[in-house]
Amino acid sequence: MDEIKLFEVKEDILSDNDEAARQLRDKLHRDKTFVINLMSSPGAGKTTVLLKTISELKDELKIGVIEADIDSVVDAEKIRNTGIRAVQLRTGGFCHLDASMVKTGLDGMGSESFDLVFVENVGNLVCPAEFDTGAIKNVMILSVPEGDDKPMKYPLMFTKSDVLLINKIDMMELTDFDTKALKQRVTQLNRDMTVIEISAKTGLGIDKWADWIRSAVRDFT
Amino acid sequence: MFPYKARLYSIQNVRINTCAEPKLFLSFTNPVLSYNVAVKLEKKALHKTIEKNYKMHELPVTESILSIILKHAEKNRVSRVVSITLQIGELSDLEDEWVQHYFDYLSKDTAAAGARLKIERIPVMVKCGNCGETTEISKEELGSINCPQCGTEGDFSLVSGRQYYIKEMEAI
Repeated sequence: MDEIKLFEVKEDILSDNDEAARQLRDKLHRDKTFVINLMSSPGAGKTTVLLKTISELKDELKIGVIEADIDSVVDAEKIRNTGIRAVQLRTGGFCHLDASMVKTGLDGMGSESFDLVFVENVGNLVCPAEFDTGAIKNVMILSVPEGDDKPMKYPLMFTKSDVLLINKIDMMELTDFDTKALKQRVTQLNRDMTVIEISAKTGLGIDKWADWIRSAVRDFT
Repeated sequence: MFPYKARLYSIQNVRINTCAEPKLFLSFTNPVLSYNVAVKLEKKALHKTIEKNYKMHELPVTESILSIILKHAEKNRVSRVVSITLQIGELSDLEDEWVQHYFDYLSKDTAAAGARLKIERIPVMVKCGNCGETTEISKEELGSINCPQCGTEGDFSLVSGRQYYIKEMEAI
């Protein structure tokens, strides 16, 4: 009988994607295109936040959008109605975007001529956290009705995001959402995370979020 | 054949809600249809799901594991891979059972067919921003404890817990 031998492998499973993401980021730096990967649960308000953000910034920056919602063109149409270039990625049930998919979208829209591109990731707090999309910054949206305990349930997402937008703060009074407790939990997971409270519906706090983008884009280019 | 007529709402409409498993929408003309039949259907649907390119994050991860392992199998001129040891961070939402299931499916007719995946979970380690001490904590404790060394309230940065790593393989 043949002897079983042990072989060291020592390889990172996601190294191909990590490498693709690194190359994409290098390209974005060369092109001076700032890409934001936007992640949230379904229904947290990604598209509404995007629409508000676009109307705040579209006179200053050339903006594009990559939509990755599962087999739906509704969101992309809403974005296109604002006069912004939106590309729909047919993710065919994929639970997340990876760097090569994002690259396909960026190439498709000719991203080098854009200042700012939003990538609307698939609505889900698990899988998108595992895969580097090659974006310059990761932003997650948590809406008030989802509860302040999300950092405990989806810690990885919180460790990977640069900005947390707390959306639907106009609904705060209807819930027992504890902003202080949430911020404490967030700081314990990721002390570098910027937390901005907004209501995409009423427009509250959108100016602060737009300021964050302005300054991040300025620092980048 | 099923004892009762079962109608399978198109597989194309399988929705992946949580990534954990594909959901099947079944409607039975007789509600007594046994659980076993439902489970069998689900397994069948999973394979169809894979063929139809429906993916969950365990699938691209498994594809990547297989391609790395086959590369090493060829390099070391082995005929059969018996086991593969992975190191996965506690923070990664990877379902062991699904990875093995996908692996069995993808590795058919390769040198890695039948290999058993052994998954070592790597604990979450955080470093306190105040005292600089590194502490191992559970996933559940994340976001809810103070530094056990100096008592500082939540000023941690993550040192480990996100790994996706192939450590070694056993082969003949």
